[in-house]
Amino acid sequence: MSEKNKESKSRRDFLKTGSLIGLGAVAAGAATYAGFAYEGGKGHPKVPHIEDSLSETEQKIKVLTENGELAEVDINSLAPVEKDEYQTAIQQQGREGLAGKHWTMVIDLSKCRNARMCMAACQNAHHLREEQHHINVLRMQDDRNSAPYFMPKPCFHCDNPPCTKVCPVDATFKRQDGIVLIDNERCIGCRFCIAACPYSARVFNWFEPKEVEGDDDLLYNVELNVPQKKGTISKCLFSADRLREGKLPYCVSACPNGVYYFGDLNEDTVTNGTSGETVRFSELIRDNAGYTIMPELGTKPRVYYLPAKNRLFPFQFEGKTTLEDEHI
Amino acid sequence: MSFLRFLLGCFKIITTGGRIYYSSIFFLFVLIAWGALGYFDQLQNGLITTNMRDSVSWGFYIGNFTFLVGVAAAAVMLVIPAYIYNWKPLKEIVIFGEILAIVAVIMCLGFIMVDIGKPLHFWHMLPFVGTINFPASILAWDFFVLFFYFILNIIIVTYLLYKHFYKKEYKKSYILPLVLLSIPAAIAIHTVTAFLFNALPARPFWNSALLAPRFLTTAFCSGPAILILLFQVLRKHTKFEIQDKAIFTIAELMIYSMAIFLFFTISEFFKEFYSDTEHIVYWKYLLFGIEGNRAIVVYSWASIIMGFTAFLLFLIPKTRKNLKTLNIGAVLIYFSVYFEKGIALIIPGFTPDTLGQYIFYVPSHTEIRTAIMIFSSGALLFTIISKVAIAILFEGFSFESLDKKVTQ
Ligand code: SF4
Ligand code: SF4
Repeated sequence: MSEKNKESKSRRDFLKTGSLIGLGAVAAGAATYAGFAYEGGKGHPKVPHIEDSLSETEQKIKVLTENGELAEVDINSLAPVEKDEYQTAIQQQGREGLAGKHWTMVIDLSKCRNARMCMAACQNAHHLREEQHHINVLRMQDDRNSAPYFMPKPCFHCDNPPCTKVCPVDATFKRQDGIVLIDNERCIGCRFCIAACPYSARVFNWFEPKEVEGDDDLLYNVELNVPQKKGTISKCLFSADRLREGKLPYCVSACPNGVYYFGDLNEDTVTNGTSGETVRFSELIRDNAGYTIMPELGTKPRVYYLPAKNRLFPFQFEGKTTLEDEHI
Repeated sequence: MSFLRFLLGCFKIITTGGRIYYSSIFFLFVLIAWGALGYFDQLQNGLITTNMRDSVSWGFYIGNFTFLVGVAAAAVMLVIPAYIYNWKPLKEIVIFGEILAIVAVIMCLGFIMVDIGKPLHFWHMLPFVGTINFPASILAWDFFVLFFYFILNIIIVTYLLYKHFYKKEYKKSYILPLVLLSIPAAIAIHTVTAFLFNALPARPFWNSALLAPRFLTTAFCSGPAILILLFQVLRKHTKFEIQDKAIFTIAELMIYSMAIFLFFTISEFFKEFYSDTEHIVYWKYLLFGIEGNRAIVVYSWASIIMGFTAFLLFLIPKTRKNLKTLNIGAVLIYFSVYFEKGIALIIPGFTPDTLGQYIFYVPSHTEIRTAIMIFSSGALLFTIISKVAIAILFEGFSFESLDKKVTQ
C-alpha cells in the first residue's frame, strides 16, 4: 500500500464514495478492495488512492464502526480485505437483511399502461436476457365480460414462502426484512422452487447468462444476483441492493405512470416511485380495496394490488405481452 | 479371509467371460458413448438443450427418476412374500432383488445429476460439509432415505456374496434384521419421492393424498415384472432354481396391487371430473390434449391400454399360469408404469403452468440421449454385478478357484 501515483478523477471518486459509504470497517476495507478488483481488471496498478490533498501520512478516512459510530482512521492502518473475506462479508449481510424493516409493494393496476419501463430497468440492473423477467407485465382478463388490463408481476416475497422450504440446500431464503433471496453460489439448480412457487416468479438460467462487459471481474452480490450464473435460479429481489442504499427499487423508480408504491410495513408508509409522494399503507389498501393474489394458498404475499377499476388509461394493446409471444 | 481377495475374485469374474458377455458389454459401451455425446452438449450449453423451460421446469429426467425409485423400492418388497411363503431360494431372490435396487438407486442419482443445473454445487447437499436444508426440504429427506437404502442393500449383497465366496454359512441373525429393515426403507423411499410432488399447493395435479399410495401400487407392479422375467432367464441359463409356483405367486400379488391402483385411479378420476373445477385442466391435457396439442395423449392412452391388457392377462388364471402370456403381461405392465411415471406424471403437472400458459413439452433429442446413457450404464452395472453374483452363487466360484487361477 505504499506506492502512490496519480489516477483519473473518476477512479478517485469511485474509491472515495466506495470507502465512505462502507458499512463498518470491514465493508470499508471491502470497498477499497472492490476498487482494486475493479481497477485491476482494467489493467491499472492495484493501488488505492484516497485523498490527493492530504499528504501521505495524514490520509484519513471516515468509516462506520461496528457500533454504528463514525470514526476517522489513518489510511495506512487499513489493509485490503481478501477477496474471500469480502465475499463472505457481503454474503452475510445479504443473508441477514436490514433490521427493523418489512418491505412491501403496492401495484396500482388502474394506472398501468404497459409502458414496460420497469421491466427494462430490472433487466438492465440484473443483467438479464431479454426473455428473462424478474418483473413481468402480463395481459389479464378475468372474465369474458370484463375488460382486459395489464398486471405487472414481480416476486411477491411471501411471508410464508413455499419456495424456500423446498430448497434442499437453503440457497433460497427469507431474510428478516421480508425479502426472499437466492444465493447463486449455493443453488444446485434443482428447480424445486420453481415447482413450488404458485406465482411463476422464478426464472432459471437455462443458458449462458447475457454477456455484460465487466461481469467477469465483478464479485458476486447476493443482493443483486449479479453476475448471473448458468444453471441456477434467479428472480425478483425487491432490489435489495438499492434498499440498502436507501433508494427505491429499480422498477419502482423507472415507472413513468405512478403504478408502484414501495415502503415499509412496520412504518406503515409507502412511497410512490413516480411522484415521490408518501402515503399510509393501511389507508391506501383499505380505501382502494387492495388485495393479494391467491391468498387461499396461505403464502401471505407482500405485494398488494389495487384493482384495475376506473382505469386512468384506455386499454391499448400493441401486441407485446409476455403471455402470448414469449414462450420461455 | 480378506476382503481384498474377495474384490480380486470379483474382478476376475468380471474380466473373464464368453463372447456374448463381451459383445453385450461392448454394445452397452457404444450406447453409453453415444448418449454421453448428447449429454456433453448439455454440459456445454446448459439445460437449454433440453426442452424444459421456466413453465415446464421438470420433465423426462425427473420422470425417469421417479420411475426408478419405484423399481428400486419394489424389487426389495418381493422379499416379503419370499420370506412369508418361505420360498426355497430365498437368499437368491433377496440378492437379485437387491442388486436391482442398488442399480436403480444409482440410476436415480444419475438422473438427478443430469437434471440439476449446477452438478458442481451438489456437495452442498452433503451433511456436515454442505448446508442441507433438513428437515424442511423433502428433497433432503429423499436424499437421506435413498442413501440409507442404498447402503443397506450394498451391505446385504456384499455380505452374502462374501460369505459364499469363502464357502461359509452366512449368519441369519446378522442378515435377517437388515433385510427386514430394508422393507420399510423401500416403502419410505417411494413415499418420500411421492411427497416431493405431493404437497405443492402451486401444482393441483399432484396435490392429492392418493399420490403416494398410487406410487406404491404402481411400483409393486413394475419392479416384480422385471424380476419375473429375470428369474426365468436365470433359471434357464444357470443353476438358479425357482419353481413356477413362486413366479405365479408373484404374479398373484401383482394382481392385487394392480387392482388397488385401478381403484385409486378411478377415485381420483371421479373426484376430478365430477367436481369439474378448473383443476381438471391437467387431466384434460393428459387424456385428451388441449388446444389441439396431443403430444402426450398417445403415451397416456398407451399406458392405460397396456395396463388394462396386463391386468386382464394377470387376472385370468389361464393366462396367468401360462408363462408365455404371463411374460407378455409383465412386459406390458412394465411399460405401462414407465409411461405413467416417466411422462404422464410430471408433464401435466406443469401444463398449464401457474400463470395458465400452455407450453407443450416433449423430451428433446439431448434428453433422450442422456437418458439412454444412464439406462445403458445401469444395464452395464447390472450385468457386471449379476455376473459376479451368478458366478459365486451358481457356478461355484470361490476363493479356491481364485488360487487355482493365480497359480496357473
Ligand atoms: S412469489 Fe414465489 S418465489 Fe416469490 S416468495 Fe412467493 S413463492 Fe417464493
Ligand atoms: S433451484 Fe436452487 S434455489 Fe431453487 S430449490 Fe433448487 S437449489 Fe434451491
